[in-house]
Amino acid sequence: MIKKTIIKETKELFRDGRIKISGIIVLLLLGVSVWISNNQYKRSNEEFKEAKIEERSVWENQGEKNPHSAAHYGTYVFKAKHPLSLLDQGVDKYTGTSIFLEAHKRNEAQYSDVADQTGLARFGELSPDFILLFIIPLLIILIGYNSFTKEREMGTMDLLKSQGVTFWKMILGKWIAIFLPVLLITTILFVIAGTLLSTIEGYTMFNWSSLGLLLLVYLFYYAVFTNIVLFVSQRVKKSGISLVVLLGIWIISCLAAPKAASDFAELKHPYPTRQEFSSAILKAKKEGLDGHNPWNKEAKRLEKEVLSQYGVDSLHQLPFNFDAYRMQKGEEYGTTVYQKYYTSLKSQFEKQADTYSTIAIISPFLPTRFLSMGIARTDYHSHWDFADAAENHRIDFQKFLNNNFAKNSKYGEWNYLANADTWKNLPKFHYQPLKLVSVLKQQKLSIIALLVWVVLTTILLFIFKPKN
Amino acid sequence: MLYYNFKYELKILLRSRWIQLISILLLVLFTFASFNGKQRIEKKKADISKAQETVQASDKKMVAILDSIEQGMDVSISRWKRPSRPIAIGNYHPRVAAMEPNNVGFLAVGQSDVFTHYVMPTVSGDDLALNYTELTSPIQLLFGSFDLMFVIVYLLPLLIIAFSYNVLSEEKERGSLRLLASQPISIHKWVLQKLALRLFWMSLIITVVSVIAFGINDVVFSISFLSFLGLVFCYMLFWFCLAFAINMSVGKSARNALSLLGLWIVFVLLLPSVISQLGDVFFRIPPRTEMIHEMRELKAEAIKKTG
Repeated sequence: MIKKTIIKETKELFRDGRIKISGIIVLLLLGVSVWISNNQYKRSNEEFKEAKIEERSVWENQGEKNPHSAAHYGTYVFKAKHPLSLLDQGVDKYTGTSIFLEAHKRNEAQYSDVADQTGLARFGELSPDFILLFIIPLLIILIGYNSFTKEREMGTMDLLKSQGVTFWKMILGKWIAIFLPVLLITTILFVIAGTLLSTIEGYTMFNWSSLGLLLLVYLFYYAVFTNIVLFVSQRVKKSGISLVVLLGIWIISCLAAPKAASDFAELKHPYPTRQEFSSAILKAKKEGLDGHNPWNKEAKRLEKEVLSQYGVDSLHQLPFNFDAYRMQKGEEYGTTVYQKYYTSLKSQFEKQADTYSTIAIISPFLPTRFLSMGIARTDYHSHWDFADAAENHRIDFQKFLNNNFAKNSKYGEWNYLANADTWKNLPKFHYQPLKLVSVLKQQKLSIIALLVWVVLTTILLFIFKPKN
Repeated sequence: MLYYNFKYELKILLRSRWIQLISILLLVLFTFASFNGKQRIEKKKADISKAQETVQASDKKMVAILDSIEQGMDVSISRWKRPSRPIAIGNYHPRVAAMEPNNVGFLAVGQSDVFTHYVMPTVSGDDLALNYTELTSPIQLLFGSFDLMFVIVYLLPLLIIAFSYNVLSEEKERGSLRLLASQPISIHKWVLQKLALRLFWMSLIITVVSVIAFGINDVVFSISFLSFLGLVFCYMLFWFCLAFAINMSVGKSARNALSLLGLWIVFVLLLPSVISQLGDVFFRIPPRTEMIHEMRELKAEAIKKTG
């Protein structure tokens, strides 16, 4: 029975011109979008490599210079695109890709793509994630909206009943018939993406397990949609009504819910404006040790402390340059301030993320979106991880320079120049993207939400007997 | 005939509760969206006035310090930060340069959530590459906001499609088309009349809910209100024309609905993204990493020159 239903439904699909055309259009769109994002990925990868080498050479060829001048001259670190961004671009377009590391200051990642584009960019991009998340569910609706209503409209339902059809077998047959073409399209896409990525030379960040997991997430998402489509088609009398109801569900879960959720999250847990954030930090920094200001209260205290510790009565007698030492202490204080403010910003972001997880109750789109971005390492968590790694590098970088300054010069010796080879000794910045396990830990709620959607819709589908 | 048609359609639409349903839907969507817009605008205004207040407060302190300097008193501020130096004013007492939201700013978010709406530029520092982007969660930017333009651009066409996909096919399927065929009116004109009446009702509802939406934001009866209505009307006209063409050329109700939806996907989802992608391919913005590199080299040169 199941097999026969599958064969019959599949035959009907192939005979239906509209479905053939839409299937071809979806395949075409997928092909084009993969081609575009493959080019983008390769290009940005090259830009990244070049920028990294150029910046390092600029840094290393500074010549003789005072270490603190070098600290102010600073250096840039760049974010590489993760290979799986080929399938899901995530929030990459909206986050900056370069961070300027300098003395006394933690900077935000700068130059996001969206700031360089027009408002048209906000309509969405022709990228594989757009097709996977928005268009394929529509294809499922198109394939399945009338799978029960047509039996009713053509009067074949009575025939089927008189044959003594088992209800769940019929549903399962239809379910597989709808799911099969989608499974085929998605799997082909993922295999192509995998081969493309594994042929790119010298790439270590790509692994097949992430890709396989990503495929699984999308298949769960499509299973939820298939369940919903069959359920509605089975409960509703006319094909037209079934189509309208299903589209309503699609619009709410894919278009309206994410937008409403983002407004709601911002209303409930607003971010500070950039100016507010930076002036609050500035104020907090003023209250503590200022590495550049020897008349600062905290600086005076530090001076006394160090003098008594070394048992000397003038800063000139210290075995190191106190100016540089004070600067390092100031840097350390600044770091704690930044840590405090960025932790509070991050907790605000985490509260927002929880809000999105709550709203996932009305939309299977939301958990899928977050999981997909997470696995592709193009989500906000990954960006935070990169920004934090860059900040840790900045702290080491300042320590390296201040220690050099303190060790090789005497108090008051501001005209000290470190020799030209010093800069080569600065450790390079290496960023390793988040591990898959930690991604899954972060996305715990999304995983639960998606699974709940799968289970609930399956139960709904099989519990109700079809209406006549 | 026009009169009868009008009366008949109105009765049908009221009885099938289409008009009621669409009025309520539009009312809810418009109110929700404009309420969101209002909150956004108010937050922006509050942010700006807060920044201005802090500047005023710090100015008062600064004036007090200037007074004490004038009277020859000792002030506990390092020399380069003293407000008696013009450059210190430029660096430590920056003004607020704000872009106040427009009175119809609630209509659309556009790119305004990407950029900050006020800055406080200082004399020195890397202000050439000033960061004009706002501190927003990128997820927010990815999903976008539920603003009035979203309702109009994305959702309104769908309501129009639901309102008009079956004007001809329904009569055909019900069998009342045969009766109509005996009347002295061409099918063409008759469908046109039916759709025109629907457009009329839709426009009426839109006008009412727009008055409410603008009323929420305290802007009614201005040029911008009229141009907004004009714009929405043109957009609706486009979708009704499409519905007319599909009604005349395609047959069954379900097919009509599918074709119109296909067109909606093409016009609203696909075309904008294809155009934006093409723009990216043909007129690519040079990578910012190049700019950074050039800036760095120039800076290094400048440092070497000045010593």
